[in-house]
Amino acid sequence: MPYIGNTPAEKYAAFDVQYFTTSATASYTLDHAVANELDIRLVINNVIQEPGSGKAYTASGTTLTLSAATAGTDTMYCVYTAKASQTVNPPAGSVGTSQLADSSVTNVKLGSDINATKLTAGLVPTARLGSGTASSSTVLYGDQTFKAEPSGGLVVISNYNVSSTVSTITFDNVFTSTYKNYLIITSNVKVSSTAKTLFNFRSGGSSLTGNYNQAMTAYRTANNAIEFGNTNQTNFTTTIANDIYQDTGYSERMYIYDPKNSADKRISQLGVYNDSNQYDNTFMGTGVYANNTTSIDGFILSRSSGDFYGHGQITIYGIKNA
Amino acid sequence: MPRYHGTPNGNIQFTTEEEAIKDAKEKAWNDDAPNRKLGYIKEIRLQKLIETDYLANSDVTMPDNVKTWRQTLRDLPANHTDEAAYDALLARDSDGNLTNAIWSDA
Repeated sequence: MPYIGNTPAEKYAAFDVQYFTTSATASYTLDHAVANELDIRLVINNVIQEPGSGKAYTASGTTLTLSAATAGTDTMYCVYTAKASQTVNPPAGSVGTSQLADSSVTNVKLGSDINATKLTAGLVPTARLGSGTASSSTVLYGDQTFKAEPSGGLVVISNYNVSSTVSTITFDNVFTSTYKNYLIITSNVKVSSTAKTLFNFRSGGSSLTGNYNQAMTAYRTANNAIEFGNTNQTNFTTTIANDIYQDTGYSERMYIYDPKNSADKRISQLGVYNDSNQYDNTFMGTGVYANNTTSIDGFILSRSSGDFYGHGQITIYGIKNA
Repeated sequence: MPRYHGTPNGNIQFTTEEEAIKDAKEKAWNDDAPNRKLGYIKEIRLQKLIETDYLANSDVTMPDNVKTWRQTLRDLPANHTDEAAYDALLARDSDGNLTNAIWSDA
């Protein structure tokens, strides 16, 4: 016969059982209060006892009284015949989120196949990502440990952005005992007139002149090579014999090798610029500053004519010692 | 206008002594401008001659107009002797191309 509404759930009834630890006594305490002894079936040594006053036992509330004391070797249990415990399994797929109390799903109730795509909002706490200290200066490694941010082999020592017109670009106190070798990156620094950019070491705030030996070669878009070499110059030139064309930028990387050693100081260069005849040049060069001073701490870039103006950047890196 | 040293800690104005030294260098640089310009011209000339050197090979006959043009290039320093003449030879259009007809082979 058809009916209206959901199919009734299966229901299973079970009776509660209480096992007693016996001793030489006639009084015991029940786990559940009863109206009288007829609400339980008492079994001693696997023999059902007769309920009732003047019989084997009486019960009221949680008090069970035997007509004779048991021995510690007896086994005794009772079945609560008037108390049914019912277990109801809800139908599959019938439990909605409204049936669950907030925060009621515990960790052990979760399956092991939860997909990460379920994380669609919020942030995973750093403590859940790995051990160690998470901070703005640490990174998470593949072993799930927060460690210090890797700094690589180059460490920025100083930087200058050419945001206005200046006649020199001066770096003092950038060469120290911390690093032996240095890298200078000149990035698209513009010049105001067709002339050379010059390099001098500095010591204690003063520029060092003389004894600069240099050899360079370049290839250019005129499809030919040019060479340059000279000794005992006043300074290094950061470009080859030709001049940098006015209003153009030049870029270069220069390595400074152990500028604080007690013998000659050596450099190497690689760069690109637009020359006085507007050919693009790529050049490489080497230089030796023949001076034994150990007090070199910086350098200065200047122009044989005109200024640096309004564009470009120069950055000094220390190269980590081995 | 005052000049400045650019430093990571801010720009520092030139001292009076530094200004005087820089002024002297600029003057020397400007005074030498004709020599530099002649150098630029010689460099361009050399490039132009190199571009037609292959016509001087024994198995090639160099056209007369090229011979004349190459000689004109060789005579540039003798026939152009002041800065104004150098500027005329180095004149360029807005694209950076040399505009003086002397650089074009006939």
